[in-house]
Order: sequence, then C-alpha cells, then structure tokens
Amino acid sequence: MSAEVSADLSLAAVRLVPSQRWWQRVLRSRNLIIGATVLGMLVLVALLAPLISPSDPLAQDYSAATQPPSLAHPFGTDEFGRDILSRVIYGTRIDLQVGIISVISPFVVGILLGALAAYYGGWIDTLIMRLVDVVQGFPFIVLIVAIVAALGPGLTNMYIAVAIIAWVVYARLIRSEILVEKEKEYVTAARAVGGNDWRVILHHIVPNTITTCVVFAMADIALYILLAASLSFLGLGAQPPSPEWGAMITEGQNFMTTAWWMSALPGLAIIVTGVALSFLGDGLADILRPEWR
Amino acid sequence: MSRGRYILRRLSQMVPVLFLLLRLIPGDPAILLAGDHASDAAIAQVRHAYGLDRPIWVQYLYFMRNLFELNLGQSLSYHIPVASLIRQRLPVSLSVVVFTALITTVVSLPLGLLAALKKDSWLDNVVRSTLMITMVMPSFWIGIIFIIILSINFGLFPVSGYGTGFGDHVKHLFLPSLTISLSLAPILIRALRANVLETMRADYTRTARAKGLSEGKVVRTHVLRNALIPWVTLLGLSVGSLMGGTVITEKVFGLPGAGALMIDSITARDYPVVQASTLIFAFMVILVNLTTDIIYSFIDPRIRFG
Repeated sequence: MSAEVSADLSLAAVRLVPSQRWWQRVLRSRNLIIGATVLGMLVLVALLAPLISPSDPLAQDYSAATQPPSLAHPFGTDEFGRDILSRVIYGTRIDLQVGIISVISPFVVGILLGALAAYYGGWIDTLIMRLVDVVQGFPFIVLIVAIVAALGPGLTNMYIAVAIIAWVVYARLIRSEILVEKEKEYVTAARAVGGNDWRVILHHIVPNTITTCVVFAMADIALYILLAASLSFLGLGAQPPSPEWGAMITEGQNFMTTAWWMSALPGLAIIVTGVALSFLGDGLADILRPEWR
Repeated sequence: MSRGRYILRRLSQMVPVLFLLLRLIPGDPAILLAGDHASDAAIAQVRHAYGLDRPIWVQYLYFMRNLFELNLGQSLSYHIPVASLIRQRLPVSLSVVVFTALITTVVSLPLGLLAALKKDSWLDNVVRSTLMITMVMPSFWIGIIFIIILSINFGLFPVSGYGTGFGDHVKHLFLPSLTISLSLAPILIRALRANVLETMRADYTRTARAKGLSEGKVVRTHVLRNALIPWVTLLGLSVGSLMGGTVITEKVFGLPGAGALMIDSITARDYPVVQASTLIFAFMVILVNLTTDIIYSFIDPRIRFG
C-alpha cells in the first residue's frame, strides 16, 4: 500500500517539472524572446512606416542620385535619388505581408488534406499522397516560376502558385504525425463516446499533432519572403517602383560596380527578418515540443 | 520494382502536370504558340497542327505522343527544335549541380562532424550561428555580393559567363556553385551534427568503446559510417530540390544554362521552351534521386539491388 503511494507520488513529482505554466516556459526560452522582440520591432516599423521613414519611398530627387550612405541618407540613395532607408522601411510592409499571406493557404489546406489521408487511409490516402509525390518531383522554385509565368507576373499570382503547390509539405508532415497519433487511446475514446469523424479529426487529433506544422510554418514564412524576393529578381514578382526588398536588390544589380549599397542593404533587411523568424521557430519548438530539446 | 519501371512511373506522373500547366496559361494556346502578331490563318494552322481543335483528351494523347518521340516542339524565339536547344544548355546546368554537390560535401562533412564531436564548444557555436544567417540569405543577393567583393574588388573570379575549356569553366562555375552551396550546406551540416550525436549515444558505440577501441577508431568505423547513411539520402534530396537554385544563380552569373534559358523564354513568351525546361528539371530530380540510391548502396552494404 505505502509502496504504491510513494510510487504515485514520485510519478507526480516527475510530471511536475516539465508541466510548468506556459508563460514560465515562454520566459525561459531565450530563442523565443529574441525572435519575438525583433519581429515585433519589424511589425512596428511596418505599421509606423509613414511616421518614421525620413522621406517618401517613391519620391525622386535627381540632384541626390546614387549617393553613398551619409547622415542625410543613412542607407544612401538609388539612381533616381530615392532614399533607400525609406524604401527599406516601406518594404517591411510588403515583405512581412507576403510571408504571412503566403503561408496561410498551404498551412490550412495541407493540414486538412494530410489529416484526411492519414485518418481514412485507403484510396483517399493513395490519391492525396500520389499528388504530393508528383508536386515534389519538381524543384519547388521551377514549378512556382512556371506557374507564375503562365499566370503572369505579380505577387497575387505568386500567392496562387504557392497555394497550388506548397500544401504538400504540410500534408506530408501532419500525415506522418497522425499515423502514429490515431492509434492512441484518447482517439478511440473520442470515437467511442460518439464523436463523428470531423469532430475527432478537428477537435482531438489535429490539436495534438499540429505543433510540428506550426514550428515549420515560421521557417516557411522566411522561405516565402525569399521566394518573393527571388521572383522579383526574375522579373516575375513585385514590379518597379515597388520597394519590395528583392526588387530593390535587383535594381541595385545594375549598379554593383559603382553603388554597392543599393543591393547590399535591402539584402540585410531580408536576413534580419529571416534570422528573427528562425529564433521564433526554435523558441516555439522549445515551448510546444520540449522533448525536442 | 525495377529501376526502369520506377523512372517510367515517375515520369508518367509528371506528364499530366505539364499538360495542365500549358492549360493554365490564360488565353488561347494557339495564339500563344503562333506568336503575338500572327495572322488569323497562321493561328488556325497552328491550332490544327497541335490538335487544339480536337477534344481535350485527344489533345492529351497528342501531347503524350510528342513527348515519347522527344518532339518537344519548336522554339518560338530561336526557331530551332526545343530538344536541341536544351541539349546545348543542359551540360552547363549539370556542371553547376555536380560542382555544387562537391563543394557542399567538402564543406559540410568536416564542419558537421567537428560541430558534433566538439558539441557546445566555440567552434560548434560559431558554425551554428553562421548557418542560421546563411540559411536565410537570398541566393541572388549572395551572388551579387560575391561578384562585388571577389570579382570586382579583388578580381579573383570572372564577373560572368561560362568561359572556354575545362579550367576556365571551373573558374567560372566556382562562385555560382558556392552560392548555391551556402543555402544547401546549413541543412546538411545540421543534419549530420544531429546524426553523429545520435549515433554517439547508440548502444553499439558504447560497446565499441567498452571493448577498448581507440576514440578515433570508434568515430571512424562506428559513428561516422552509421551517421552518414541517412545523411547521403538527405544530400541527394536537397541537391534534387535545390536544382531549382540553378534557375536563379545562372541568371545572376550570366551562365548559359537550362535555368537561364527557362527564364529568358518566359520573358520572350516562348512557351514550348518553358514547358520543356520544366520537364527537364523534373527529370534531373529523378536522376539525382537514382544516383543517391546507388551511392547509398555503396555505403550501406545491407542494401542490395534486386
């Protein structure tokens, strides 16, 4: 009797340690704090762009064309005399938006289709996973470029191309998680008390398996910002005079012998955003999946 | 399943996607194929020649037949068969891919292994924080920065082009390959580090140590070999997926490869070439995956081809 009690107690003690309150774990994750702070600042910059940017991102001033960084223009000016710092600040609006909008559809569609495939198996699984194989048989960029080329250049068509293709990664991720999860007892229990399939999938299985996808989505946002920048470089993304960071790097390429700052500095903005998202992703992993540590 | 049947199955899965891609183009494909300024008669002729006046499933069969005959159509801007156009450009892209795989392996192997063996040392920290940055650098940006610093300021490498002769090619391909490697290496170094750390904790490693093997021998014969097996697969998959990287890098460095051809054809609205180059990239992914399987069987003697 007493042996059983002490066994129970020691089990309880073991459990107490990892199940700290969520905010305690948030405060203990250095990754999350760094990532969230930097990203929060970027969002602020995007929101306050009209207030904090020194000048209009599109205002041309030929008397101040292609000037190197100085006090008046901390990031220098481009060939039209536009202030690059102002353009980078306004670019924050575009690039953050691109990253976030792009990730929504693949995330939702991928999780739904992946969950269906894993839960039902059989021909539904075969059909969905065959589609996944086909899409993954092409290099990601090549397929996106081909679709955007067919639809015409622009960020809206990039969203469409991403929505058509990028769900496959999420479908594959959540499928492998659910295949393990659906054998667990709580799923049988949820079904036994009369939950219909949709209820079991959406209220029980997905919430317990979604964390991998959430962590992955952070890295994915950075990937879409890179993608938008690359498409601008290929002439298929944001069109001039848009201050999208990739478009700015591309414009600067023509002046790389004389004005390095035109390409170099917008690139740094992409790197800062990407690194912040990596920290945030690692931080979320610390909190949501402590067993990965 | 035999190797040949595997390739055939993968390819036959790709074909409908390409067909759909052509259909996705807004507007009348006959007008696109005939060119923007073609006469009505010319458009009607193209429509008939390509079978575009037939039902959609017949069009699909036509499309399949042309693929089988390697008849990829006629380039609208170069006025030569697409197949011969791609044959000229493909070697450049393949060289970039091979060179990239080589550089990536040479860089990732020692760094991943050292980072794991000296876990939490300054070296491990430097490697890991550098990777965090290189992973999110846009490849065309790195390319431009390389050109500004190494080619223009120091004159170490040619600014653009492919050169003539093997030595010259290597010189021209080094920066483009290094550029792609920088986005490829982080994934591979991280994975190798994780694999090595995992095998170091495995029971057979403890047994190897317990029976008195030297640490170097344990690492060489027990840890490294087992950690490398999943890593090689990842290398193959990454090279395959980052094949797309050549599309961008070839444009940055002015290389006359299949990727640059694809982009130029998009600008020129040369749709037969766009379609064919998309297919070629898919084919190269399959090829890389097969090569991976073969290398895999050399490292892991448990795997034999049936």
